[in-house]
Amino acid sequence: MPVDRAAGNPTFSDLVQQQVALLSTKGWYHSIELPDGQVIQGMIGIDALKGRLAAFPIPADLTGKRVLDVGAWTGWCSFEMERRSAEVVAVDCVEFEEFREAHRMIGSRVDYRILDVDELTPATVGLFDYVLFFGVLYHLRNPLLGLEKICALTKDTAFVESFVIDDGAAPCTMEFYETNELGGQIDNWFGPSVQCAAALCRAAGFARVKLEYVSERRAGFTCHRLWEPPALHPMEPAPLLYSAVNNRTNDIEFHPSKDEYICLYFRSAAPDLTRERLRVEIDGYGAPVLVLVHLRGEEWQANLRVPPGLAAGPHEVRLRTAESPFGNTFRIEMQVPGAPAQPSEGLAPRPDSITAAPPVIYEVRNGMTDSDVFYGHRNEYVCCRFRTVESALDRDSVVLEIDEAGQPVLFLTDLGNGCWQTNSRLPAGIEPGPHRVRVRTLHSPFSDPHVIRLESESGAGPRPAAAS
Amino acid sequence: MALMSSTPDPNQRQLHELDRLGWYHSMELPDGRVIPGFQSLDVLRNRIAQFPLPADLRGKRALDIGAWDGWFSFELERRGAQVVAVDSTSFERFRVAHDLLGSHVEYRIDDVCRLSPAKIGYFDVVMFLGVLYHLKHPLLALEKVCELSTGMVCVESFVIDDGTDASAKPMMEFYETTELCGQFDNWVGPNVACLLAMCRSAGFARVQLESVLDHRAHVTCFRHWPEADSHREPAPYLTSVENAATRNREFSSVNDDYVALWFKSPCADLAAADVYPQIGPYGSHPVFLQSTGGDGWHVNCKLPPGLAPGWHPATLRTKDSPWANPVRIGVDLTAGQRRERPTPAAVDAIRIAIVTDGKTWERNLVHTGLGSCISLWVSGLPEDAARDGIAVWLDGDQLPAVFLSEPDPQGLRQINAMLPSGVQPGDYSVSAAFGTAVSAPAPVRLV
Repeated sequence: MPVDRAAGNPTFSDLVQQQVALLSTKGWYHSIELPDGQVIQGMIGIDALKGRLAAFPIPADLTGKRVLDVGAWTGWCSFEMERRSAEVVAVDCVEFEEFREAHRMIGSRVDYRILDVDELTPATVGLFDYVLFFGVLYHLRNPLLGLEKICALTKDTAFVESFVIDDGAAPCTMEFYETNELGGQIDNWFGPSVQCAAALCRAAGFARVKLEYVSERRAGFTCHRLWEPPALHPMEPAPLLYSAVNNRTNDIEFHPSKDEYICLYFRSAAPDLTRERLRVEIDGYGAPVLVLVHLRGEEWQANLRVPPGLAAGPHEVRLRTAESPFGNTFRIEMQVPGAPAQPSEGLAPRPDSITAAPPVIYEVRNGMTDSDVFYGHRNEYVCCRFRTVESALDRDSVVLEIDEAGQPVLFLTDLGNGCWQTNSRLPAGIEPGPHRVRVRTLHSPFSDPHVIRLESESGAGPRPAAAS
Repeated sequence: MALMSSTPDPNQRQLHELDRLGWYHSMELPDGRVIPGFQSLDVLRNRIAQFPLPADLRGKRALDIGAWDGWFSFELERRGAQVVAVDSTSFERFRVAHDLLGSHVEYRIDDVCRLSPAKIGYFDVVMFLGVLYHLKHPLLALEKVCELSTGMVCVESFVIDDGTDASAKPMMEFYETTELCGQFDNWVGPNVACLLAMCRSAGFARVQLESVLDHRAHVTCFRHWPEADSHREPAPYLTSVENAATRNREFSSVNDDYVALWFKSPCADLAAADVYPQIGPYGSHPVFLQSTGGDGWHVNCKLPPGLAPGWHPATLRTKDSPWANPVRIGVDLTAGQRRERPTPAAVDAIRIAIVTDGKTWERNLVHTGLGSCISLWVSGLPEDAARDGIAVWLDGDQLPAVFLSEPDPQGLRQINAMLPSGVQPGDYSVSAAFGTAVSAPAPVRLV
């Protein structure tokens, strides 16, 4: 602790005095408190800095936590987080000499990096329990992209502070500044309304966004990646999640950097369900629902964005309502960046390895209507429920055929007691009428076929003989 | 009645079977039959007629982003263009129409923000119809589109006003969920002013509003300035070109870099709209123009997207002038390209012709104080000398050079250097240095 040792040393004190005098003329942005109690006066006083930080619920003790300070400028917030015992990374788009000087005078261990917001990824800076994103949003040409980058780095909570154009009453809009309209500065791009800033935070992938204050055209938001803890005494039963698929392709595979959405299909007995009452989690991170559609009875569909920053590989989706415990989990797959979508390959029949009895299909349902009638809509799934003596199945060890043609198994779930469910799509272009579904597992021959019926909803197509 | 499964040749399909696919675009088949879509042929023809697209596109490459059923792709192909159609999801109807028309359009499934010249090349014409408001990062997408284009881009977007209110400030609505038409894939609704401003900001030279019809704005974006009608004005003279942030001659295509051009023009009362910067082959509209006194001007423009790594000439002209002298700037230079700079000429004869105060232009006299600046006019510097290679010596102190001009007609280059704070008044000698060559000292009095 060289600074502490230097304290009370007259020579060092004189040196610091000279530096303080010099630095005070350099136009510091943040004021900085030095270990010996002296203050370098910046544009923003210590009280104002403390006041701004106090508006956010940042823990007083950050021992063992990683904190990222984006747009650190002179560094007061970074050094304050360090004072609270966090491991701190400070990021700015240009290097500030004042930060370096303060860092040295304080004897700080804050890791100072010169990076653009676009360059912030878990690979470049790691993940953080808390992220400070103060005074940066409106300087970005792509504000939502910036917030997505921040969300992807945040494990717990991000604190977002921004210029705003209103006091909270204006609708969800943002102004665009082509040149130097805002304050004569060319580095201001967007001015969001308070509602818009909150909506951008939610759209970026944060589960809960709370407005902390609006004052003098600045607003502060606390953005949580986690839902509030489930109710101790749930009032509603857990929903049953039976499908979670890519809204474009209807399979469980997702691609990083594509704008893809998850469609959840689930069953819930909760009355008056709204999107605000749904709590979807992906790998423990909350994800806000964009659209909730009541299909029929207890059947629901919810659409939401894939949260940013999911690594390649499997991820667990589950959901609850505000008043229920979490239900079952459903697995989705994030692809390697740039990898083309691979259709899942059917399991080649291996008659020599057949050692198990055939499965028994006990029902095949339209996942959308929960009936055994199909219409060929793109969101209809063939949900095949069967019993088998084989255990520890995965998607690659189940083969499902419709009219003797293999169909990719998009989803497999263990219903317990030897019962399993697969979801597949109806093949495109099949005709109205009866169709045969059968299934086999790794070591079994095919089951007996189960007949489903495709209805021609419009009546425009030819009627099969069986239906006339 | 023929069934789809029994007639694999799509050309033999009956219209009512095709109709079951649910077409958005109507489609005219080679035999004259029309597959009716949600949008009639008249509607589609009217949409494309909003843009000044040539009837003959032979020899041109065209890109159709958000092709949907493909009517615009096939129309561009009919006009003779080599066409790439892109969509975010694969549409069976596009493929069916492609077969029925015997089309050679290349169909690709990709997201706008993942397109790049490396993947699909450059295009003379880009159609970007009905896509922008579906994007979360509209400005990023427009930059991508600009990067892919070498000529013109036709942008059609949902807008929230009709553009007739000249006082409307650029703004856009943000749709978090299904606020717009109950669809959750609508993200932004710009007003016309915002759409035009974002198109300009993406890096185009010129942006032209064609029409606003039923909440749809049609905007043509050009990467080039028009030819000058006459040369009634003299060519401006570029004195310096720099990266506005780093103050050197190097630029990065991934940063939001701006080019600062200093020039002299005898045209009085220049406005930003009268100045046409051009970087490499592309025009870039001014974002900032200021007079620097006398006939001196300073204009900033965005580094236009799509420049290949290497050296590019930067130049500009005024509305009715020929082009100024070009000055080379480097974009995404590799170490090898950095070495491609011309080797320094012999620097045996650096000579100071004039010493002045940088503000008052008094000869051999500089006023000290906040922001005081000394200006030297120097001959004998090598052509590729850059500001950061220049040293100005005031007796024993090296001063940072903050500006280096291109040679004026007499071959003199201006060097500006800031005096350090606290320098004492008195008689000094000043000299200019490049590498190991140092000029003879010239006298200057600080007061």
